[in-house]
Amino acid sequence: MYFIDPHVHMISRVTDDYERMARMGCVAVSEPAFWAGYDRGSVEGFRDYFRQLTEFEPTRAGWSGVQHFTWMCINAKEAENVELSREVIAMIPEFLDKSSVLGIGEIGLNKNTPNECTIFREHVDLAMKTNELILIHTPHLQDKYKGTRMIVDMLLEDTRVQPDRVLIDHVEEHTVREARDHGFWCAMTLYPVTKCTPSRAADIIEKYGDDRIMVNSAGDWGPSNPCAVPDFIQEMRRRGHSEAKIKKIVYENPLEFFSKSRNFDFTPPEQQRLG
Amino acid sequence: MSQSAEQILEQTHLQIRAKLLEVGAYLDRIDRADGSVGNDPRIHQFKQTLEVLASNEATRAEQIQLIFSDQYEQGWNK
Repeated sequence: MYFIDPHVHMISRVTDDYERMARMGCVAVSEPAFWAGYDRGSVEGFRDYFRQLTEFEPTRAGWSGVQHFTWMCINAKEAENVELSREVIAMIPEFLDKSSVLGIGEIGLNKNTPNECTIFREHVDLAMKTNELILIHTPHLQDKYKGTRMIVDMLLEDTRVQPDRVLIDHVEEHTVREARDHGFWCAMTLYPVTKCTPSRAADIIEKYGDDRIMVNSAGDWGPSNPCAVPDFIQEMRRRGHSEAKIKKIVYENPLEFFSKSRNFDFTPPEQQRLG
Repeated sequence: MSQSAEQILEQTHLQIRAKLLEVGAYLDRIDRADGSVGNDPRIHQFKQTLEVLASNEATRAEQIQLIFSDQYEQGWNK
């Protein structure tokens, strides 16, 4: 089955991972800007990072026949440096017309601090002024529930925000309802220890349905598995769910959401082969 | 649901058994070690989750998530 991994940090992975993903049916990935494991020191560091995301990663993905899309932002961990964050936000529009950029993300909260909220609101303002989609990171572990609710509060504060143009990521059992009840898209991240396992993600689908929801590996430089989406497909099959239902979650839903971006120029795999 | 309760239990009982045993072994390991963590709030949280597991509501995973979550304050942004 073809699938799209809607959240994976391929910059942290080796080329062999693209190849393995392609062999398992991956036809496209979307890569949000994120934390590199250390705080970057200047706006130029971010400009170089954004160039890598928009220039080299699509090329590298293409070697395995995978289409690469990306998102621009300064992540919540580095948002504590408000001055640098504002410099990065001012620079982001240089990249918004690049052919693979889907919007602003992954913005959000990390420790739910006032500075993080300030920079989150300024990212949302940029997205509204430039008519971009938004991809949102929700915090880890004990901060997730409070942070997700704060994020939803801030989105609802801004009357320009259209919920169906926002994806709230890393939802789990205690946050999925908050995202869906307000009309946002949401995604579950399949991680070995934290976030969701494939079986818990399948439980959430069985409980809340398959509309406006997707799954991702969020593969990065930490413990993670870029082939986690096929694990979810296998779990759903094992439970007897239809191929059509599984395809909706791992392929059609990401397509529907990403298609709202003016830069989502996706070639379906059937047409790629013909071409 | 595509599967019956009997089918799910049949497929998962060994995994449930293994995970419960693992939790028991983790807690035993802590108890065998020098020092005391009986007052650590994380131990209190673990005990709360065990009560949730013993309940009959089909919202156990959500309830356990909330035990491990910071509280949200309504109106924080006013």
